[in-house]
Amino acid sequence: MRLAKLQRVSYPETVAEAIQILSDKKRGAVALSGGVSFVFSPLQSVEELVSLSRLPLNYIKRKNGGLRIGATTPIADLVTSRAVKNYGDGILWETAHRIGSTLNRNLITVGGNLVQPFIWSDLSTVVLALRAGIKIQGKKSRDLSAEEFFTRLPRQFLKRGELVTEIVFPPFPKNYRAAYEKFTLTENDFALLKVAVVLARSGRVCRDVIIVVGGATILPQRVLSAEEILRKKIGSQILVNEASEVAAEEIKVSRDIRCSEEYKRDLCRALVRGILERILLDQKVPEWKLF
Amino acid sequence: MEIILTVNKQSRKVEVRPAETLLDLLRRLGYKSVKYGCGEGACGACTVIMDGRPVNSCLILAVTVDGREVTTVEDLGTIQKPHLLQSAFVESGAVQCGFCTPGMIMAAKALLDRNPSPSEDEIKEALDGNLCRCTGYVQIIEAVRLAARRMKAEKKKN
Repeated sequence: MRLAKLQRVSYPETVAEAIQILSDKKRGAVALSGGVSFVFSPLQSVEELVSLSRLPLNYIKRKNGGLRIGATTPIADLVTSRAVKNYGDGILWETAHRIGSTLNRNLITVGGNLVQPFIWSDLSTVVLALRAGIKIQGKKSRDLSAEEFFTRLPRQFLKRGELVTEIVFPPFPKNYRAAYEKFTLTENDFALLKVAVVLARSGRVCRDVIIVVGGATILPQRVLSAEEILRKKIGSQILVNEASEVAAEEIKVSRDIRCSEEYKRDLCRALVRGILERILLDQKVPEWKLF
Repeated sequence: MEIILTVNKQSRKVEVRPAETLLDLLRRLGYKSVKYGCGEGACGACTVIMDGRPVNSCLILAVTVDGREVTTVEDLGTIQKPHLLQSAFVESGAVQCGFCTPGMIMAAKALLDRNPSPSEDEIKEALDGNLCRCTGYVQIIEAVRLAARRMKAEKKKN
């Protein structure tokens, strides 16, 4: 029988209570946020589930030009939030809007999507590109940058009793631009590859840039050498072509039953080039032209 | 494990198996409008409204819905006195085999509860997780628009 050892489900109402239950070695408890991935691949050894649904972590707050989003906030709430739509050139809203269907977005939570990543997960790519911070609470609290958070699978480095409680998005200055693109075979399908770019411009000069590719491996990856090609240079088609070429060559690509490594590299080249043409060169790039 | 949940405004104390989904539980309790389609959150045949939001009941473990409020199509209307959405679906020719219909209606109801005058794009987005493999979507969208108009008129009358 599936989940044969499951004895109980607890519903803590405070983070401290949840941490206490999860810290207890004897209870063998596992935290459950939206729970979507757990339905498909439950840990058979789990004795207790800790539902996070009653924790006061369902919120979106504006703070000093940035955003603070509670970990149990459903993705659907990002889509209906004006604050999210107005933040970061709408890149976070665009990403949330294109995760699964309306029905799925009502269940999937922000924290769950980050802590339990799959190769098709969307949010991690943009969280890394926006240089967000991840708040973790446990016996001791710690704040990690998204870059630190995505060095390993989160479940591998979260200690017993630790919970991701909040995602902190920094202020998005006026001279910054951002864009996100993903490639799927159908509108609701899992993405084969996605790219997020955030850059700072003074006129046509690219002052700062971060390019993140998701879906090539489970965890999102920055493409540092492509960023280096663009940083502090005047944007031009030659530069954009070079950066997208380097990005396609540099990314690590895991085996994926859905398409070949070469195909993913081609997608990467097309997506990076299309986004840079749009936000660095101000070209109007129709979606069909990306591929 | 025992849980207490509210289904169609009725509080129910039920014994659930550890790996049972909300879909399995509802069907076991006799709410047969909730359909098993894909079992992986892609088709929407199992759509119910939980605490005001439309969700795929196949993606929810029943043991985790203690204290939640669930609504299925059985709560909407009867054959003698159908809900405005149900009659709009029939009149618009939005029902053929009928397998997706309960899910479509619950997703549409959640939309109209929140937004009584949705645009065509908003209707399409609200139903983007509900697949129909025979009628097509034109009549379904028309049915939701018709129901929205009638619900608005009825509200005005009252």
